[in-house]
Amino acid sequence: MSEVITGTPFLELDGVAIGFGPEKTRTDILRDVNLEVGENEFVAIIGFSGSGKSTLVSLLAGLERPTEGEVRMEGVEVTRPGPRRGVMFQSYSLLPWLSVFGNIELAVKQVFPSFSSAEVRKHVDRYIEMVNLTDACDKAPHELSGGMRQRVSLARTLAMQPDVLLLDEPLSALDALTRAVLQDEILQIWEKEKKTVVLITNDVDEAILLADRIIPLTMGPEATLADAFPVDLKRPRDRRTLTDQPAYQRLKAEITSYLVGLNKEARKLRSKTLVAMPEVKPRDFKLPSMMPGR
Amino acid sequence: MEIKYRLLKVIDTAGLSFLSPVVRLAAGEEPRKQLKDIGRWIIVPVFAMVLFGVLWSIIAPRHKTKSGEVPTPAVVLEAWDGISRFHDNESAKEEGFQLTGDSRLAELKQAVARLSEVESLEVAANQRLKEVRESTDTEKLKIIAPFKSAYDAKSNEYRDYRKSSAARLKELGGTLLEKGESERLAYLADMRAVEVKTEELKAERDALKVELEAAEEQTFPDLKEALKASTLLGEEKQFLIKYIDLVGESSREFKLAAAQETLKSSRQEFLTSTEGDLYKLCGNVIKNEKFTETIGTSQYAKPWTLPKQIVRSLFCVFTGFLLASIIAIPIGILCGLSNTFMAAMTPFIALFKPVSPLVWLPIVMIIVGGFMPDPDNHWLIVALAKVPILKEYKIDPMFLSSAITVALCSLWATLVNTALGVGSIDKDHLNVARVLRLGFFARLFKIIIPTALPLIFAGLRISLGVGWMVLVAAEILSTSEGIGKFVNDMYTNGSAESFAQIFVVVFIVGFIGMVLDRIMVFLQRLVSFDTSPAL
Ligand SMILES: Nc1ncnc2c1ncn2[C@@H]1O[C@H](COP(=O)(O)OP(=O)(O)O)[C@@H](O)[C@H]1O
Ligand SMILES: [Mg+2]
Repeated sequence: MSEVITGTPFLELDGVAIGFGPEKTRTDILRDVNLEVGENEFVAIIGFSGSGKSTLVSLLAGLERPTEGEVRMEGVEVTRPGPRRGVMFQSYSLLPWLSVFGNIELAVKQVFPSFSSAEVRKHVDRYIEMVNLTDACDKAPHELSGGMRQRVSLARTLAMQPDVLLLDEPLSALDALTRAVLQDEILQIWEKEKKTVVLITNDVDEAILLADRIIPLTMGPEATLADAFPVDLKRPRDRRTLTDQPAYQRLKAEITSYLVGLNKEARKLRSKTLVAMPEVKPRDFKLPSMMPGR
Repeated sequence: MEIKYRLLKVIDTAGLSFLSPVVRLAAGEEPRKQLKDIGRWIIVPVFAMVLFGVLWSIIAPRHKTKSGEVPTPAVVLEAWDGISRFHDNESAKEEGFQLTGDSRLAELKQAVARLSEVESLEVAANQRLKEVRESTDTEKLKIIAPFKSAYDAKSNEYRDYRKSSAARLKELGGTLLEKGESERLAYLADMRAVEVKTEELKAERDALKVELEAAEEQTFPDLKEALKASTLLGEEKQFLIKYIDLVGESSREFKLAAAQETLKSSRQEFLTSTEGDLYKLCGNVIKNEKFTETIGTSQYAKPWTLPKQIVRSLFCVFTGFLLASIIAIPIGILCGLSNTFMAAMTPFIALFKPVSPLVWLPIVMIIVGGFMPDPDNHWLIVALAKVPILKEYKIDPMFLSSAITVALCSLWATLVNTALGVGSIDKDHLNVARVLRLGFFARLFKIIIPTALPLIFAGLRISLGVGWMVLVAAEILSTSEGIGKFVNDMYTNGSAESFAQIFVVVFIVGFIGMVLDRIMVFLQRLVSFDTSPAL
């Protein structure tokens, strides 16, 4: 499936660096990041937590501007976010005063202003059904479990029908079964609707199952993208037989050992710079209750 | 079970959570725990209130004021009766004045019948009062007699002693001229002793006087009852006489008929007269036409009863509250959106928030007065006087001043809370808006305001509470009609009854404030999205 990239890449990070805070004390979270994603390509980025994966998504989406370098889509610099690059946020970002339906409806109405209200309803219902939440359609986010919220968030992003899907750990809170169903769903959408996908994950199996290329993000600070692991497994990939293939096992071992190596390296680095901290434990405390006990 | 949870949810949303153990108990859930909760949240408060009432009844009568004793709960209840009776009577008069045709005649007949009944009852009551008074008078005399005789005796003793010793000392002084120093010193000692004794006697007499007065003040329940019965009947008689007049010869229908008659005859005279001043006759017709018209739309001049004052106060507080919301919410949103704007507003908030309504009011009254040199013809007052329900409540510059003062004092809580709510918006939610490229207004109405709504309502709740407190003070100072005016009138009146009526107002103001607060809590809960359902 991995096509040879010709001409300008669809989505591109060019020498990007980003850091937060005042200029003098700033250390870059990401440094010298280069990435080229072709049209219809499925890229997985894998890394430890805190290394800057979500920051990378924000850069791609245009929510953050790089302090150095450029983010480009179809050769044009990305200066602000927009619905063509649909982000699924790691924190779900559901609006708590809207129901499941309302959350998705808000996005659909905004992205497809020409839809009649019946069309909007049909469209929203379709995506709610896709993530299996038809029964919870009218519930508020606080009435849902973590996994259900994640599915709503996914449905909202998919319903926007963006050209690029930026999925920040989209399935992390799901049980294995639902996760498998939704992985298949994402694959199907990608294949059918010819999307470009950047998937952030910390699950190597998931990355191998879905992606054309897997790119590890080194440990922060000053994290950068390492060399990609191309996934040359034939599509469609069947999760039941995939794990039996030697190519799969080799790839998984390679990636895993690379990541473990990253971790060790980072620890070594860190132990040199770490300042010993006094051991302080918080005392046990409780908020006083003011209301009659429920 | 379904019903139980629904009921519990309603109770919780209405902020009546003290009722939930009752519901749970009725559903048979953990009876032990529910009984404990009922004990704590229902029985203890009721007990505390009863205790308060008892202490009040005991302590209040011990303090005498120029308006009589501090009223006890029983007296306050009576004052409440008086207030509502006055209101009922005035409402009856207002309705009676407008009756027409058969219903007016029927009402008139009934009132006349009741009047004769009341008159005979009053005669009986007065008779009884006289008897009771006589019997209590003799009883009272009997009780007082020992105190009085003791006092009289002491009083005489004091007077006699003073007179006799003065005479004695004077005489003795005459013989002292040829006496030596030792005798004169003895005389001095004598006079001192007399002085001391006189003081003693006087003190004893005064003590007896206090006892006598206490005995005289002794009240007789019978007499009190008889007096009250007679007064009540007297009041009803007065009311009926006035009522009969209003339903009868002073009723609108009656007066209108008379006016129409006069109009008709003056018209007739003008049309047919062959001599006399036609200019004057025609003028008469015009005058009578106008008069008839005035009568036709005339209303009974109902005095301000407490319920009417309360409604006006409520109008006033809601006008002020509305004004405060209209000002505070947009400014609060701007403050939350822009740190620069917040910085610009901070000194004003800090400086003006603590200013008392009693300072704002005079300023507002003068400024409003400046806008309305001739209030009766000012367009705003004229326009408000045409609004159907509002026009009965005399919307005048004082009303506006009080409302503006309420707004000035109450808007700060809403402003600060709105700014806080808008400022604390979740960055993730804004990111959603950015990805969707929501425009400014869509972002404002779909993301920012919904986020801030619970805090905005928390602010509005505080504002309404502050406004209600401020209002009564403002009304007292501005002598604008309303609860404050009622309190001021009662204070100026200074009788024991009006003193008790001020106590009634305390409870009414407190109760209304509580209801307003509950309503706001309810609304606040309706708009907050992150409270988990009460289960
Ligand atoms: N807005 C911000 N301001 C300051 N530091 C930030 C901000 N966003 C992220 N960071 C820092 O950047 C690092 C990477 O964060 P993140 O991209 O969320 O990691 P990941 O998604 O890989 O777990 C973290 O150390 C985090 O503290
Ligand atoms: Mg992350």
